[in-house]
Amino acid sequence: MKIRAIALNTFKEAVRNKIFYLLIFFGVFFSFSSKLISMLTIGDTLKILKDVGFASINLFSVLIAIFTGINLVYKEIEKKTVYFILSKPVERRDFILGKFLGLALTMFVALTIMISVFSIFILLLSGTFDPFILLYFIFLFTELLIIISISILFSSFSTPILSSIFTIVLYLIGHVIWTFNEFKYKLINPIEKFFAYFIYYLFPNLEKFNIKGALVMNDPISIKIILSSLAYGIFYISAILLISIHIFKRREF
Amino acid sequence: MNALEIKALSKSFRSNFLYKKTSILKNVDINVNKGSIYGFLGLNGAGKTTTIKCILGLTRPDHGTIRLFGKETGKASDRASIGFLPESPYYYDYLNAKETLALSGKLSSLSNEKIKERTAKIISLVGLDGKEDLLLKKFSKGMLQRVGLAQALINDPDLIILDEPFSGLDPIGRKELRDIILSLKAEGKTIFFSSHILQDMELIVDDIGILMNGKITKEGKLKDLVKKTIKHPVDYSLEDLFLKEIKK
Amino acid sequence: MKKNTYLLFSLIFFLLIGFSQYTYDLNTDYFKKRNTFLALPSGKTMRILSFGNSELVADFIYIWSIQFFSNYNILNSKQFIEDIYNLITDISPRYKDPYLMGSTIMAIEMNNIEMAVRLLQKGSKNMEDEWIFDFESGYYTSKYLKNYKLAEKFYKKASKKKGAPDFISRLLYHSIYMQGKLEESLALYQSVLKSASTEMEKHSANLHLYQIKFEIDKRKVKSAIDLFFKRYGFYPDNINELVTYRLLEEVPKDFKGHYYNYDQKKGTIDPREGYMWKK
Repeated sequence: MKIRAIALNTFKEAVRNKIFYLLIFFGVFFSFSSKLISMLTIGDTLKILKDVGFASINLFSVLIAIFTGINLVYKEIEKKTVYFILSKPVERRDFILGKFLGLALTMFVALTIMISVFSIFILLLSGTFDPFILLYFIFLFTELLIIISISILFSSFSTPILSSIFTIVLYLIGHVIWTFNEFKYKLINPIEKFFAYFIYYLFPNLEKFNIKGALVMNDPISIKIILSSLAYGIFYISAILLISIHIFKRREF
Repeated sequence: MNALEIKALSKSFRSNFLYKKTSILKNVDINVNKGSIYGFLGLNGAGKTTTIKCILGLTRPDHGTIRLFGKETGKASDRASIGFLPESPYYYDYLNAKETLALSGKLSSLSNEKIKERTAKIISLVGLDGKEDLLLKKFSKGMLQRVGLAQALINDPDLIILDEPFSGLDPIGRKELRDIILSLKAEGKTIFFSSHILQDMELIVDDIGILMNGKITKEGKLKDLVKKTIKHPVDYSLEDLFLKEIKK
Repeated sequence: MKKNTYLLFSLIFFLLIGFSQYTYDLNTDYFKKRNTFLALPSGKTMRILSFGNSELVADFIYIWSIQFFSNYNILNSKQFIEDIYNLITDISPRYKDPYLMGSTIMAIEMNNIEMAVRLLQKGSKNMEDEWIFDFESGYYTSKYLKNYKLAEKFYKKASKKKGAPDFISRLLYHSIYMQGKLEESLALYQSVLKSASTEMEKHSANLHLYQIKFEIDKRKVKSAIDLFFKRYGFYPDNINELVTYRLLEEVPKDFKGHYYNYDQKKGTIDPREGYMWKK
């Protein structure tokens, strides 16, 4: 399997890079620092502990996704290692898919390390294990896959600095796009309305994958919400990857 | 049947969408006989690398056809019979030589047993014995060139394309590379290589093509070309021919 | 010697750094009383700006607020308290601690019960299945405002919620009793006695019932005696006379079935046993 070979090679590249371990270390380190911050509060320390821990895991996994995603794809082109792959009987489609799967595997490993270490930390401190953490894992992983696919899209035609800026901006937009609900109904002019709806449906809505709050507050999440969010994630990733393949196929080196 | 047949290949580039297109290749015709060594000559920027990229499908030509062993190219699977050594030896420096060869083999759809068998053979052919497990990070340029050659040969290709294989090699390395190329020819392979190191080329090639400003200005058997213009039979060489072409 | 020159100079600079910091500190009163100015964005803005980390932002503002309100050098810190806790609870409406902490500061430190109850009721609205907000509202209104009618409302709401402890219903009955609705509270405490499972609870219910019955009887007897006094100009010799003159239907007995002591000089009745109940 050529895709598998490219994916495993991508994973190898990420794993043999020191920055990968550094970011994981910082993710774990900051999630441990939640203990310190939770000492400052009055009342429920476990909430603060979980909030800080999940937020730092989230932050660092997103950083890993953006930077390894952009770095690993762009580096291929910049360092001309892409000649090595594309001069073999390899479809360009397989290159993009292999890169995506390799990065997905990388994120899976990074996230598994961070979340399991943090779960053990919580377990030792509070004596409870929340099975909803698995749901959090799946949701965060889906969000990261969307970010990876976006970073692959951008780095398939742009420079790494621009790609990281675009990807970070899209990540931030993805977390505030829900506010469009506020005013898209208030617009009357059909052109403005169309534009608002267009933007709303075009940009990734990442806030739906953010179940940190519900997890900490023990709010129930309906199965409908879970399934529709996961379906949304899969559709979005597929769409972005297809565009990336389209652009990459036309690209000349 | 020719191993490689290029007809009326042209290619122009636009460095920025505001600029006018500049023509790199203008109606290039190349014929490479099966089982021969073809030397592709030209100055820097003449379009040698672009031609090679077109053959490999890394860039799309504007016009023209490229035939490999009589079949028109265009699909990825056509590259199964090609081995390519890029000009700049950039490989994954976090891999060792063995892993690079394994990756190369897998990308050429070889089975694991086949990869193992070929790796052992090629590593001794290119002279990397005892260094298979060293990361490429630690390799010198000459050694990287050997790795590059090894990865190009892993799938036992019929046509081997080498882009500037002699650049950056020391005299011993060049001698060894010449020997390798000759031994490949003896196995019945076709070798197409670009270079501007004329001395090396002169020693091994059967045919040459000279690319000048995007056009093939001379193509044919080395012996014939050098003979045709002969005035002083003793020391007329490929270099004289090439310099004469440039001055035209 | 020469190779350590840079090190030596940097050491001198570090000494200078220490000295200048020391002189700065001598002239600075870090703990002086001061006023402060706060400009906080709205809860919704903060939620948008947190990019998916609204819980974390709420945590940090909450932790900061604890430090802020326990800093007694800021003279006007309490001026912003309602805004700050409204902000936190807007960002994270289902975070319990800020409601409780905020209302405690408002009630205990500032003695502003209305404000505390407003915050608690916001919590009760945002977390409908939580009893503690209504319980605390009831506690503050009954303890500080002595508004038992309002307290009854809050306790009633709290006692109906899931997981509400039993003592809330007893507080509810107490607030009803304190409003002077004696008959109603007598019936309620009788049901408490019926459902009581431990000796302690039974004892407590008995005490309440004794007290309530006494007060009901006292009120009855008092009005009869007042009528008697109006008519004859003196207090009766004993309670039986009231029955004889048809001012009372019968001689009241306390909850244990004993007669009350009658104080002829004051014209009142007292419980026979030394039953005392904090009031």
